[in-house]
Amino acid sequence: MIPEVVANIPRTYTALAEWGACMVFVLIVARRMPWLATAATMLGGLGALLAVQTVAGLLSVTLWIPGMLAAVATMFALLLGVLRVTAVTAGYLTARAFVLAELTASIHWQLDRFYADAPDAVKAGLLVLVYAGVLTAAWYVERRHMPRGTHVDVGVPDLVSALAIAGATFGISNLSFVNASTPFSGRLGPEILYIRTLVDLCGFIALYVQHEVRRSLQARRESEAMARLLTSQHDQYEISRRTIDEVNRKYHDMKHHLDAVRAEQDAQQRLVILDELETSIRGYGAQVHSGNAVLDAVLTGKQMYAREQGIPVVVVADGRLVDFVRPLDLTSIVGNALDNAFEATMRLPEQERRMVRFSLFAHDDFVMLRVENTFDGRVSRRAGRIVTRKEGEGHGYGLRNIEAAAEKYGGSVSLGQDDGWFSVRVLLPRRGSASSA
Amino acid sequence: MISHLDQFQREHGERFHVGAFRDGRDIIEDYRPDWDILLLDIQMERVDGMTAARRIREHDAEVLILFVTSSPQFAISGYEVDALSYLLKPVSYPVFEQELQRCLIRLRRRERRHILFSTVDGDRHRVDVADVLYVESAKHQVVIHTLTGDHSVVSSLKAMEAEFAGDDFFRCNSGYLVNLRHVTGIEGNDCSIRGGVHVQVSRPRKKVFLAALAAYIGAKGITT
Repeated sequence: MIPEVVANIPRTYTALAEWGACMVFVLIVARRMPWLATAATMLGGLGALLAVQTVAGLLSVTLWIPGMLAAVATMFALLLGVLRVTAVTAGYLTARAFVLAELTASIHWQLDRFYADAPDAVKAGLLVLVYAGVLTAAWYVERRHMPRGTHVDVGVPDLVSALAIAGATFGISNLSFVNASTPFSGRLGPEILYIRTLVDLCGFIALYVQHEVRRSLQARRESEAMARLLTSQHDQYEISRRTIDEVNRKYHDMKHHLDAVRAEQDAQQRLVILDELETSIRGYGAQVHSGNAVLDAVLTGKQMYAREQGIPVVVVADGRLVDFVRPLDLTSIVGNALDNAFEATMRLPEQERRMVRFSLFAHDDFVMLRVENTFDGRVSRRAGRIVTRKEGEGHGYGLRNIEAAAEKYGGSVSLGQDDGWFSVRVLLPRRGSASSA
Repeated sequence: MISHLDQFQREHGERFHVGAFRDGRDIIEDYRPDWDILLLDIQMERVDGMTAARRIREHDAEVLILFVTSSPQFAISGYEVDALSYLLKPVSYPVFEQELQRCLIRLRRRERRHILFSTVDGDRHRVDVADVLYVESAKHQVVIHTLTGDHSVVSSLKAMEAEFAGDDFFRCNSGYLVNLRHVTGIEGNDCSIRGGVHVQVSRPRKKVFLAALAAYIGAKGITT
């Protein structure tokens, strides 16, 4: 029989721990509602958890598991309702909150039993101290790998492993309370409490590590995709540069062609040569000369594309202003911004409304690089950020690349929409205090 | 170009006073800042558009200049003369329409706003919001620093922030409210304001500050 000293944790305490553990994640992850509504919902949640635990406490031992499940379901509903997350993510966070709650309640109860003879006031103080201490510590460590207002988005496999860890933790930690005669049960009174705390702690650590691993994998995937995109931007610049070389060669050839025309006596034949000549140089006229070779290459390349698509591009740019920007960063900013602009303006059904403007100018000690395009007035947002409408991997990094490049030079990016025009505005401090990164 | 203007006037119900000059020399000769918008062809016989623009800028910082050309090579110099835009010949009507609309929006935004306040010593003042450099809080007063002088007013920075709402001011730390128009540079957390004053931007506000600055300068375009 289980000794009196390990009498189980009062239900109210369990409810409190479960609520507190949910609170830890509510304070970290992005929420659905303003704080007042969140606070009201959380208070309601506390009531619900207290009610569930009280009812569960009245039921017989056989209904102990269903009682726990009801509590877990309440936590899940609370997290899903308050946080801006999917059901899968809410399930994942519930598993983590549940183990944290178990750990908190277990540590406290272990201490409470040790000081079983202390006056009630001291015990109340202990309750507050332990719950606040453990939950604050948990909040602190969780916050380190989930920046405030973070978006957690986990997949089904993550959910499954979190549930498995939580289930195993719960099962093993509570085995002694259900049956003392298994190979995995404690038999001595206070030791049972200690085992439970230890197993819960292991469960918490396992879940923490799982999250950490998941996060670093994700970060690596993102940086790889970003690097791929940067390389492709640079490739594009190389292609443009080659095109320009080719044009220059063509100009050189022109001299010989002119000699040929001059030498041709037959007027008919002369016209044929001239026609050929005209076709061969069509489209090479609108080369950009901004004063910066990299910018010229990117702009010329992009303009060729725009011409094919029938998008007029107006350029006013003093390229010398961005001489301090490294080629890779410049191609990334300009290439991505123009690609986005072309893509957005082409969504307009009316061909004649499609337009793109590029400007680069100085304003005091700042350089402003702006790309504007006409668009259909629709932007997709997520958590206040504009996101791509393209699907699949490798997309949606354009804007982030621009931001990353701008930040490298101490600058910033702002997006705006005004009267049918969408604009990306990149502000860079002029003297280019580029970091060595 | 004239036909585009006619079409624009018909379609938008605008009335323009249109004047045509045959050459850059005709316009810079005896130039008076009466015009709101100039459409300048870059290639002109005696005085080209760029030279004309440079001469005009010496007398008129306000007029909006749009270049029209068949050669994009001049794109660089546009910025030197504060050109608003640069249209490639042949100019299609939709492009022309867009640019002209942008000019009109800009012209209408030029209306000035003033604030009225009484200083600590009882004087009443009327100040152009555009002339305010920054506002500094000092105990139970604020000091309004303007291009022409400083004024102490019994008020709070919070109240001043409300007063300037919508006027491109930014609270860059607990004690300063800065007019983005007069921010001339930024280095680290140090923001310089016209007149050589430096103000610290608090770390948590820096990102938002830079974004606001990018939006402000980006919206203004080439003409200031």
